[in-house]
Amino acid sequence: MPRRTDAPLRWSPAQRRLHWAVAFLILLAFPIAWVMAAVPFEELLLKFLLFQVHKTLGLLVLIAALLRLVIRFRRGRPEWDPGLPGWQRKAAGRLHAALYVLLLVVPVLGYLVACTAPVQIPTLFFGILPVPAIVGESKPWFPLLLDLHRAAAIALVLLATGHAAAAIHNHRRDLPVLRRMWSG
Amino acid sequence: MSAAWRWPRVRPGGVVLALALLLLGRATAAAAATSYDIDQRYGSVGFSISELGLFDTEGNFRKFAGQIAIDPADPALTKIDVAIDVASVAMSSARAAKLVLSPAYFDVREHPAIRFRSTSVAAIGPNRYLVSGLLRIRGVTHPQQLMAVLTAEKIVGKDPPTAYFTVTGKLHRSAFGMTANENFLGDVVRIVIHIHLSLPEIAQAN
Repeated sequence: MPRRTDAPLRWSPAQRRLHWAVAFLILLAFPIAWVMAAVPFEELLLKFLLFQVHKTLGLLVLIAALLRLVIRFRRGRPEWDPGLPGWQRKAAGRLHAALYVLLLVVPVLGYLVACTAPVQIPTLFFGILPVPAIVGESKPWFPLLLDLHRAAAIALVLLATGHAAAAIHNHRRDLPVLRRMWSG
Repeated sequence: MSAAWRWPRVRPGGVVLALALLLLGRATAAAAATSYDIDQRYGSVGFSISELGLFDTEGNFRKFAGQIAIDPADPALTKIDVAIDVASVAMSSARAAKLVLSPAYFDVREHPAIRFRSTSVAAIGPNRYLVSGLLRIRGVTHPQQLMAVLTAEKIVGKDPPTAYFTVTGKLHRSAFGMTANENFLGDVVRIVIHIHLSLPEIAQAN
């Protein structure tokens, strides 16, 4: 992340709200993924609806992540809390970067999975707006993209869990990191 | 798939004889209908269904067999008798195929074949024929109409001319007891069949 000597004092309301919105969206989208895959084909409507919800959530994550990156580059982040030692700041910074990357990569991979799937089901954003497929059905690419999407999603959730655990840990050490993201 | 009801295959000698008779008798009486064995080498049997009215899902049957008796001079003499191997269904995914073979759908264990037997054929326009017949799916028989359109005739060198037909029709799957997933799958199933036949003599339409 670029260093700014004129770093803001606190996380802006937009930064904070988008942060928690993304967390919430992922907390919904991830379990829905496992359920939607497990629902048997006999229950076609339910399966279809769960897939549409999952895809809509994923696209929302992508949009929110892009917005967050724009805001982050324009506004920057508040200074690291002085209570955090240098090595923790470095590690956290790298973890955040990895999270940003995954927030973009996972939805894009998911979109490509939908495009290359042998069962061509349209993606309807909020069940209304059709999302065009940039590539078509592909027997060789589909299983690969599906595995990558799953692996990246699991990595995202694991890293996010570590990120949350670290925040809670620091919060309990009376550092203001969590409070700053919650209420500014 | 059992083929106990199949007629004996037309022997090459018989075809030559029929060809000779056709050529000789061309100017006078109508020639007799010639019977042809058809199977998946000569075309395809496909279907499609609408999902939520938003998109279509397609499938086809990889194996089918039957006879078509055709008299190029008199289409009304055409007779079609085909059996489709239900287990040969192919769809975009193996799980979709498995669903479609299940008891709620084709019920392949109880009804391994779909049968169609024509009852009448009428020429209703240049190169267009209305085929009426009986369709048996899942143990239920209903009248079925199909529109056969002669889309092309190819003459290559000394080979007998080949006629290409596209045959379309619609049916309501609920009429055959397939009512599963009514909230998601449409009731109307569109049929698209492609068949090509090498006929020794193809009369010009009208």
